[in-house]
Amino acid sequence: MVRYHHLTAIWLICAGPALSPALAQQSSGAELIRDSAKGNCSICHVIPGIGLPEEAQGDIGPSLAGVGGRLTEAELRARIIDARKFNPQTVMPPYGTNEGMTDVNPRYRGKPILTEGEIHAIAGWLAMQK
Amino acid sequence: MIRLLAALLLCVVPMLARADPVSGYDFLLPETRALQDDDFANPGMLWVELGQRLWDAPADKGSCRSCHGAPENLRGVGAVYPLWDPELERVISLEQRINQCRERQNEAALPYSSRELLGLSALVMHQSRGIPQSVRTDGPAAEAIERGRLYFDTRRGQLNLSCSNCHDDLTGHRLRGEVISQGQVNGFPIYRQLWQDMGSVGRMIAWCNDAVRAEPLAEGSQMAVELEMYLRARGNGLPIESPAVRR
Repeated sequence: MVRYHHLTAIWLICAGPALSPALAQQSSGAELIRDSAKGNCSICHVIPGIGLPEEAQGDIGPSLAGVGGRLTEAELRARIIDARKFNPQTVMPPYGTNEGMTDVNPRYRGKPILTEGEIHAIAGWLAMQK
Repeated sequence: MIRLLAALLLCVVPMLARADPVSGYDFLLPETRALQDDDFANPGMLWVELGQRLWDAPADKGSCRSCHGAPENLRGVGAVYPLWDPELERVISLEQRINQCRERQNEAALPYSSRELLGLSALVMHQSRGIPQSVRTDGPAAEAIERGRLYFDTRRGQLNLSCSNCHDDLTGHRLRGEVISQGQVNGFPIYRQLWQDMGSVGRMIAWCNDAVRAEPLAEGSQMAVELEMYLRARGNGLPIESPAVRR
């Protein structure tokens, strides 16, 4: 057993550098989706696989179950950046722009909710949900 | 004719869109309702008791009691606030009226959201428990209410959401596990479990502003009072529940 663990550790160390960028993106995508100060996506959407029970997720936006089978990563990104482009009446906040916003708290003024990299990570994770 | 019909329809649709008022009480879990219903368990009653002590003191100066007698004499008064003050020519909140009274008696005005001001406003509102909320919507108050409605309906903040987006259009839906209420204020001041504290309508407005990452309206600012006026008018007819318990 000891040897097995030892080998596993070596395997992880060897495989680490090759796998980490993709793994890091996957886990950070999921983390950003959960983080209430970042994506906070499940406040409105049901997202299976995010690690929250369904009753602890919102029912305002459509369920994102299998969303990667319906939308490409680029399409997902565009919706996260500014959902108003697809529905001017949407209640989904524009995560990648602050165009046309009024009365923004000075703490957040002049910057969108998420950075380009964060939107990339979230769209990447969602695109894998098929 | 068609134009007239269209114009009529445009007037009617927004009115239809506003549902009948439903108290936040109806959106609570049974155990939270039970907490509100039991005066011995309701934490908001601690503020009512504080208000009662302040009502009587100081005995040598102009206490509330020296003019008004027992607080019960103010039954019904809280249900009509905010109201148009013809002397000041603006709508004023109950908290502002309390401070106006204090200053007339040479007492210092109490800061917004202080325990003392919450205690006195809770005491006064509590006297109207069960009475339908009934702020005046006609006369000079109408313009203030209209400005409040405009604020309520305007998207703001980094999340680009209006009050109306959630509290008119998405009532009954869930934000995570929380059911969205109509944002009615007939129970204020409230004991809010999230705060573990008592809060006025002004505090709640600022909290909501912060939640959508908008600039918080200062409590007692004219805009905040006019927004409260609209919120009260929107819920006219709901029974006063003060001190209500909310999550």
